[in-house]
Amino acid sequence: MSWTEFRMQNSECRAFVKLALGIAVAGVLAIGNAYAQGAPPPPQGRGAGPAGEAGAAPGRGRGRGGPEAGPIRRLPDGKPDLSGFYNSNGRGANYGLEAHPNLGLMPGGQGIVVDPPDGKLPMQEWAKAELKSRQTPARGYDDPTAHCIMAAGVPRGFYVPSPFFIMQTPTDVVVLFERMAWRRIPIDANRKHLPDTVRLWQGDSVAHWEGDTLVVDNTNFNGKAWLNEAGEITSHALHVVERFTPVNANTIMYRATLTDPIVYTRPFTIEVQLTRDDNGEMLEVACHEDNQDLAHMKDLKDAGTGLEKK
Amino acid sequence: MACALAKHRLPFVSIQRHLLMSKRLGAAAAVLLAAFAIAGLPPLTERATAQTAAGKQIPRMPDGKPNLQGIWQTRNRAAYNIEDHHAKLNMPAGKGVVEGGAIPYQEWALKKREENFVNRYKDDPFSKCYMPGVPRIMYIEFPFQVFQSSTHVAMTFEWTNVHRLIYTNGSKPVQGIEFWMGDSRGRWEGDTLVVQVTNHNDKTWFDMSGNFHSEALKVTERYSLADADTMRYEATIEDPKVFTRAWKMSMPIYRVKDTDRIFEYQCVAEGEEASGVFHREPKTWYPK
Repeated sequence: MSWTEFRMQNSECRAFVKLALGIAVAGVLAIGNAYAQGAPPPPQGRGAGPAGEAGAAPGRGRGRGGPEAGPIRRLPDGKPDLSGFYNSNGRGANYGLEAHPNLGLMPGGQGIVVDPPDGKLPMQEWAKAELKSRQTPARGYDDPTAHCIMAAGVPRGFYVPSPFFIMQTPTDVVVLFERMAWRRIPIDANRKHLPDTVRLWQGDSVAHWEGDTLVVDNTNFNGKAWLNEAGEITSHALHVVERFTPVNANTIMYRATLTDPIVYTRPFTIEVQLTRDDNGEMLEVACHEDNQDLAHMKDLKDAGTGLEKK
Repeated sequence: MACALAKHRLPFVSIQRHLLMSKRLGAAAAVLLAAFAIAGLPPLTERATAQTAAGKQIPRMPDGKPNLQGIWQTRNRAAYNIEDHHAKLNMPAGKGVVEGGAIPYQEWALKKREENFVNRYKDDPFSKCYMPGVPRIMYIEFPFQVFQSSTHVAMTFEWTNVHRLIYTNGSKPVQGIEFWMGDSRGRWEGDTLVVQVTNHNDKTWFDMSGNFHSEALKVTERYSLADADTMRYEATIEDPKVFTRAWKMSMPIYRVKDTDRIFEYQCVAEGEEASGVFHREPKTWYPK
């Protein structure tokens, strides 16, 4: 197969080539720049946000020391206005919530677990074994997002490397994810969750304001979603409390506390920063429509299954 | 092959996105020029105000615009065939929604439509769980919810968590990128929301019967409230590669009043679970 044929056969490969070229060019530019200014090259870190973005400062998930972006935006009724186009500084969490080095094609990350204080997931023993299994090549096929089931998003939607748009009305916050999924978050302290017998990929959300923080309570999960491509685990017993706290005009601190007694020994909390971009517009990720990866992953799964049988 | 290991696909998507963004910046100058050209046209709002629904009370936003928010669904059979049709296996009979009855296909395109119909079980993009495109998403037999602000109208669909974001802030379409769901830019003409939907690809159909279009498709949608619980929906279809002239479909869309939420239907997930290919996790899945 010629190089051109190889490239044309797989759009992901094409993207990978572009990525590699991009890194090479960026590297050359950075080194050139450093020489010109007589300064050392900037530190490398896959999970860090773009330079100059609030929160690019070192430290776990903190953006409060960032450059001043003006006061929190508010609606006429005085409530914070979360509306807009956002990018998340996911710090590599889509490849592991704990701090981790890069592994093969899987980018490293700085870790987004803020509680327990050691930044480790408090997994039960069976879950540790299951996680190890999910990280074998054969199990990549089992990640729902590999099948482009994109509504796998609580809290995953807020740290995947893909932007989203928040629309806020007096009664609802609606999040439209570029990876073609959405979540409706009704703001109503008196709203009841669905009966236990109705289970959904993204669960059921009810929200209320606590000062300037939107607190969202999520239950009724079907337990099929993975927390990330590393295969980190939740079950149908999952309960997620999310907190959206605007800290300046362009920044929301997003915290989620996950309680899941089937998988974990205690609740844990993650934190990432969401950054508003007033000039941003959503495009469209046609994941399933152009999914050329799944066949490869099925091959790996079949190969893995074959090996187990031997 | 290196990419056989490419389980970790998604960062590449965001890289592609950045490449697209830079392409868009390149087109910005052309957009500006186009905007200047359009600025010479007379405003449409004055004459449109006269067509407000005759005396009917409709909900309104604080800024006076009609309030389209709520859960909506069609009750017709356009999902099966937008033209008049008799019943077939898995297809109830129905009256069409095309004004004047028949779609004005070019000769070759009519043959193509007949081929599509014969091969519909295999070829319908909807049956492959692909995004249905506009206008089809509006009249498939699944409900959707509308959210509205002064700058945007968001539509969230039960079917596979698809959504639309209609800009009503005066912004212009992106240039040079095709979308499954098109690029939607809206403006108010009196009490009617007029949405220009452009940048379509040539892969979506209008219905399950093989009615189709090319990437030259332009859709102009008109949303107005006939009364508090009935939306009038019109879509004017232009595609000089496939049709001999512009044509229009119209239908009512009704407010769903017996529920305050829509749920989910994940097309890919349900298909793969039913086929048994998708691994079942006894410890984590809801036990049923």
